[in-house]
Amino acid sequence: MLNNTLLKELHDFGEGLLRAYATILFSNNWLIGVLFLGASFWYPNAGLAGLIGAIVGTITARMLSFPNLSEGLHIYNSLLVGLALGIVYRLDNYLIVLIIMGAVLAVILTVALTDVLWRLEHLPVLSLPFVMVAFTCFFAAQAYGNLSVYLFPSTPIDPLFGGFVDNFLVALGSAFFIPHPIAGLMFFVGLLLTSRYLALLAITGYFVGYSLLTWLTGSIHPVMGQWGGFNFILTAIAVGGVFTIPSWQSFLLAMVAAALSSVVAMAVQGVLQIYSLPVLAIPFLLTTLTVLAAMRKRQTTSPPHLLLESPSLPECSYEQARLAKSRGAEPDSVPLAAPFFGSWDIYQGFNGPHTHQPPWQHALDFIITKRGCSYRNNGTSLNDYYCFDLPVLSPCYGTVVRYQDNLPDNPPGEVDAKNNWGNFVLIYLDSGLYVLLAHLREESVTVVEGERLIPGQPLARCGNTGRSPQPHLHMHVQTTAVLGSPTQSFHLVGVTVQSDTDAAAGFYLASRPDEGDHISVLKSDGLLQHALHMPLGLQLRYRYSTDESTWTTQTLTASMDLEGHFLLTSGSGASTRYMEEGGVLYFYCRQGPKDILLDTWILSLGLSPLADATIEWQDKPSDRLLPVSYLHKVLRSVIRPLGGGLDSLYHRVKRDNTWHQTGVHQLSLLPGIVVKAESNVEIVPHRGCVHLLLKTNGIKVEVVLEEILTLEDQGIPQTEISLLS
Amino acid sequence: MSEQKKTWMKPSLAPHVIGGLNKFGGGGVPTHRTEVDGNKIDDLVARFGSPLFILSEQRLRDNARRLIDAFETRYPDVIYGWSYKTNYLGAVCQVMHQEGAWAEVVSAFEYEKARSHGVPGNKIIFNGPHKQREILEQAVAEGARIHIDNLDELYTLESVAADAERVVSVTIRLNFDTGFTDPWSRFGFNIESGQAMDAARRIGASDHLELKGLHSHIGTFILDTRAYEAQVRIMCAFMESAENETGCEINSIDIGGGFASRNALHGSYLPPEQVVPEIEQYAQVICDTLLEATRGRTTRGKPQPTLILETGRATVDDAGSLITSVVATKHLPDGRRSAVLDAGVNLLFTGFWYDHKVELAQEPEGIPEETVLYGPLCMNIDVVRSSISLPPLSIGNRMVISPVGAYNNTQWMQFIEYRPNVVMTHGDGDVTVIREAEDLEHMTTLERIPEHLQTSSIMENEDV
Repeated sequence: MLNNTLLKELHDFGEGLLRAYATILFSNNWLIGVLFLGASFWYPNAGLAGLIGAIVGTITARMLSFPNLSEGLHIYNSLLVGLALGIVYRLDNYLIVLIIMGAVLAVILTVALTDVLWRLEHLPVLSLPFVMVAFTCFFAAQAYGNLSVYLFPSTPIDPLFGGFVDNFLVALGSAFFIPHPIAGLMFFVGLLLTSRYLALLAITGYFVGYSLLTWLTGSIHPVMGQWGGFNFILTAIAVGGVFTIPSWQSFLLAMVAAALSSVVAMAVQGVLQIYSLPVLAIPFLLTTLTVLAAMRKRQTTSPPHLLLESPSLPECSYEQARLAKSRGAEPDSVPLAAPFFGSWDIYQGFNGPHTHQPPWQHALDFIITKRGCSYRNNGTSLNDYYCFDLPVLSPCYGTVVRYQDNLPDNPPGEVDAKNNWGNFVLIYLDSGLYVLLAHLREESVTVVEGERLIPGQPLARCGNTGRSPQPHLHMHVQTTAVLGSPTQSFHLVGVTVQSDTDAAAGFYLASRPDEGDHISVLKSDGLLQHALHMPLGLQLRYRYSTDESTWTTQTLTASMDLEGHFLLTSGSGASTRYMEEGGVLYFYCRQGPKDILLDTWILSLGLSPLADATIEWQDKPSDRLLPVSYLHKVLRSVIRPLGGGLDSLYHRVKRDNTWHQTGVHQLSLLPGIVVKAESNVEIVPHRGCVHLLLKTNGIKVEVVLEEILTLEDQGIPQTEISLLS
Repeated sequence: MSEQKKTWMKPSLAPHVIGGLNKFGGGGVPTHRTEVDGNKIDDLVARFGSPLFILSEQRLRDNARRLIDAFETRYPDVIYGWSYKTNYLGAVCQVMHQEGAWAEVVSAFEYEKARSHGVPGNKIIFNGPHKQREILEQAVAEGARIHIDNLDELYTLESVAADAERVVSVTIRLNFDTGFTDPWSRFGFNIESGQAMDAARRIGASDHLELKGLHSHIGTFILDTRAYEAQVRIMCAFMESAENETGCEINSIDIGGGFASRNALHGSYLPPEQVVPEIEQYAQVICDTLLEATRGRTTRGKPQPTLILETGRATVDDAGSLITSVVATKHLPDGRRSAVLDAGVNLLFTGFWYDHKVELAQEPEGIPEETVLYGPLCMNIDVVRSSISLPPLSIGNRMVISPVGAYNNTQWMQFIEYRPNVVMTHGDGDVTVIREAEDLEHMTTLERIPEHLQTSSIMENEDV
C-alpha cells in the first residue's frame, strides 16, 4: 500500500519534471520531455545544473502545495534558471547552492506573478520569472568570488548542415542554453513531433528576425543570430501558434512580432552588454506580452483571435475554431433563444440599412409576413398585423432590470420619435451584459423589476410603440444598463433558418439570420431527446469490430468535469465534452488517445438537432476522428500543417419507429485526393444508439450496443439492462 | 328608332309587411356570384353536373395554416389533429396531412382510413366511445394515442396491453361544467363526481397503462371564448391533482374542437361575421390560459404539456360550397313562394341546424319576397330554408349554398337520390373530381339477392 503510494508519487514527480522540459517548446508530452532532457546533456555541466534546478523546483512546489502542479509551469522556470547558470558557471557545491536558491525563488515568483499578470491583463507569465531570477543570480554572482566560470567549449563547432540551418538550430538550442546544432536538431525534432505548424512558425519567425538583423547590421551577427535568435523563434510560436487561433492574419502578426523582437533584442543587448550580461528571453517576453496585451484591446471580432484563456497547440485550436465557425459560433457572441413562439421573419438584421447602424449594429427586428404581407384585411388597424399582440418571451436566463409599458401603441405608419425604444424590458444576463426587447405593446409587460427569468417565459406582447411604423419586435444585447448603449454581437439558438421560400430550412447550432430570412423555433422531438439523453452515470457498453470477426467490448460513461462540462469518457481514457441544450445534442473538445468507439460515436452524432422534422445539416468535425490509412496520415501532416478537417453532411429519417441518422464525410487532402466516409447510426426509442456503422476506404467499423448501465452512487445501487437477447 | 323590348319578368305580389325593417338589418338585398373559387358556375355544372359539391384546396390550406400559426405563435408545442368525421374525403384529409395535421379518428373505419392515407399509427389520435378490441389491438401495436372514454374500455385496453406485454401511454377523456356551455356528460369521465380521479387512480395502479394525457371536448359551435378559458383552467387543475395523487406525468392536453365557423345557427339574430370569434381570438385565450396555468411546471421538472387541437368545422366549413339548381317553383296556399331544388337535406345535413348563406348564380331580377326552399326528396322534412327573401326563381336557376365543407360529406344520406360529384378546385382553373357521383351500380354493388328472389311475375320479357 505504502509502496504503491510512493510509486505513484515518484511517477507524478517524474512526469511533472519531464513535462517542464517539454513546456519550453509548448508541448506537454512527457516523452518529448525525455528527448529534451537528453539534448540538454549535450553540455553536461548545463544539463545537470538544469536538472538540479528542475528537481529543486518540483520539490519546492510540492512542499508548498502550490496550485496547478501538473502543468509544470513553476518547474520550467526553475529548470531554465539552472540551465542558464550551468552554461556560465562550473557546477560545484557553490553553484549548486546558488541554483537551489534560484530555483526556489523562481517557483515563488512564478506563483506570485501568474496571478498578478492574469488579473492585470489576462496575460501568461511565460518565462518572465526565470529572467528576473536569472538576472538576480547573475548580478549577485558577480560578488560571489567562490564561483568559477564554466569554460564553455569554445572550439569552433563542426558545421552540421552549415549556414542558415546551423544558425537556426543553434538558436533553437539556445532556448535551452545548449547552443549546439545537434542539440538544436533534437529540439527541432521534438517540436516537429509536437506540431508541424509550430515548426513552420519557428523557421519563418527565425528567418524574419535573422534577416532583419543581418540586413540592418550589414553583417552576420554571431551572438545575436545564434544566442539571441531563439527570441524570434519563441515570439513567432507564441504569437502565431499558441495564443492565437491559426489564420493568415495570426501568421502575419507572428512575423511582425518576430521582426519586432529582433529590434528589441538589439536594443536590450546594447544596454546589457555594459554589465556583460546576455539578453536571455527579454526580447521574447517584452514583444510577446506587449503584443498580446495590445491585441486584447481590439474592438472587433475579426481574426486574429486570441486564446489567452485556453492556449493550446495550433492544430487543436484550429480544429476547434473550424468546428465552432461551421456551427456558427463567434467568439464573444451571446447565445439567445428566439424571443417568440412559432415562425417569424427578419424585418432587419445585423448592420441593417434602416436603424441597425453602429453602435447599434448588432440587433434583430422580427415581424411576421405571409405571402410578403405583414397584415390581413387592409392593414389600417393594429389588429390586422400578424405579429401584433403575440407573446414576447425571455430569450435567456437573467434578471429584469427595468421595464416600461405605459407608452401608447402608434397607429400603423406613425412613429414616436421621442421615445425611440417605446415600451421595453431590459434583462441583465449573468455574463454581465444586457438584453433589450423593445417596441412592446402598451400595458402588456407581465414581469417585474428583479424578477428572475428563464428562457421561453412570456414577459410581454409584441406592439408598436416608439420608433416603430408597424408592429415588430426589436432585440439586441448591450454592454451597460443605459438604454441604447453600444451593442454586442449575439446569435440565435434552437431555430431553423430559411433564406427563401423554396429553400429547405437549414439548421445551425448558432444562427445569425439576415433580413428576409424566415425563422422557426425548432420543435424538439421528446422521444428522440429521451433516446439520446445521457444523464450522469449512464454507461453504454458496446462491442465493436473493424473486421467483422474480432469484437472488442468497451464502455462509454457519462460524467461531469469540475468546470461543469458534460463528459463522455471511453474505457481507453479518451473523452469528449457534450451538451444538450436548445433542442440540440452536440459534442466538442475531443481529448485523449485515439479511440475507435468514441471517434465513431462522435462522427455519427457530432451535432444532432433533436427535432421531429426531417432536416439536413452540416458540420466540420476533426479529421482525426476518421480512421485513415498511414499514407493519408503522413500526407496530411506534410501538406497540411494544420490538418485537413472533415466536411460532413447529415440527414435523419424515421422509419419503423427507428431514426436513421446518416453522415457523409469528406476529407480533401489535395485536389483529387479525397477520403470519403459514411456513418450510419440507428437510434431506437428508450434505448438510444443501438447500432453504428462507419465505412471508409475499405475500413468498416461496426458498433453494437450490448448493455445499458447506470453507475452506482452512494446509496444508489447499479442497474443494468441487457440487450444481448 | 323602335324602343327596345323589355325582357319578360315573372310577376310578383309584394304585400306590405310591418317589421320588414329592423335594427338587425332585415332581409337585405340577395347577393349573387357567378364564380366559385375562380371557376365559372356554369362551366362547373356543364362539366360535373348539378348538384355539385366544391372544395377549395387553397382555402383548406389557408385555414389549416392560419389555425396552426395562430396557436404555434402563442404556445411552444402544438399538435393539430384533423377531425376525420368532419370531412374524411381522401383529398381533404391529404391536404390537411400535407399541412402537418395528424389524424383524429373516432371509429375503426376512420382509423383504417387514416392508415390507408399513410398516417403512421403514432400520429393518430383515437377518440370515440366505440372501439372494438381488434382495433384497440392494432392501435396499441401501432402506437396510436388512445383516448379512453369509459371504464369498460379502460379494462379492455388494459387486457390488450397486458397481452401485448406493453406499457401503453393513454389519455382519458374528461367532462365537466365550464359554466358557459352545456356539459357533454355522455363522453368521458366526470370530474365533479370524482369519476375522473377514480379513472386516473385506476390507471396509476395498472401495470400496463400509464396516464400521459387529458382530453375534453366541451361542445360544438362555441361562440364564447371564455368557455375555453374555463376548460383549460379546469383541465390544468385536474392535471396537477391527478399528478399529485397518482404520481403520473401528464405531457399533453387535448382541448378537442368546437370552434365556430362562419355559419348562422337557426334562430341567431346577428350575422356570423359579428358573432363568430376569429381563430386568433380562440388561440389567444386558450394559449394564454394554458401558459399561465402551467407556469413554473418546467422548473419543477414537469413537462410543458403539448397542446392538441381537434378543430374540424372551423378549418373546412368555408372551403366547401354546394351548387344546386331550381327544378320547380310553386306558390304555397299562404301566398309564399317556394322552389324545389335538386339538393336537399339528403346532401345538406347541416341544414337541420344552420341557415346557410344562399347566393344566386345569376343577377337577381325582380322584387325579392319570402320564399321557401325545398329539397328533392319525397319527404315532408326536406326543407333547405324555411324562409329566405329571394327574387322570383325559374327552372334552371342556380344558387350557391355555403359554407358546407363541414359534416355534409360525412353525414349526408343515400336516401332517394344519388349523391353527386364532389370536386376540388386547385387554383388556375384546375378542378378534379375527388368523389364520383353515384350511379345504380354503386348503389347495388353490395346488395345480394337470394336466388329465389331474382325473378318475379311482373318482370319484362320473361320467358319470351
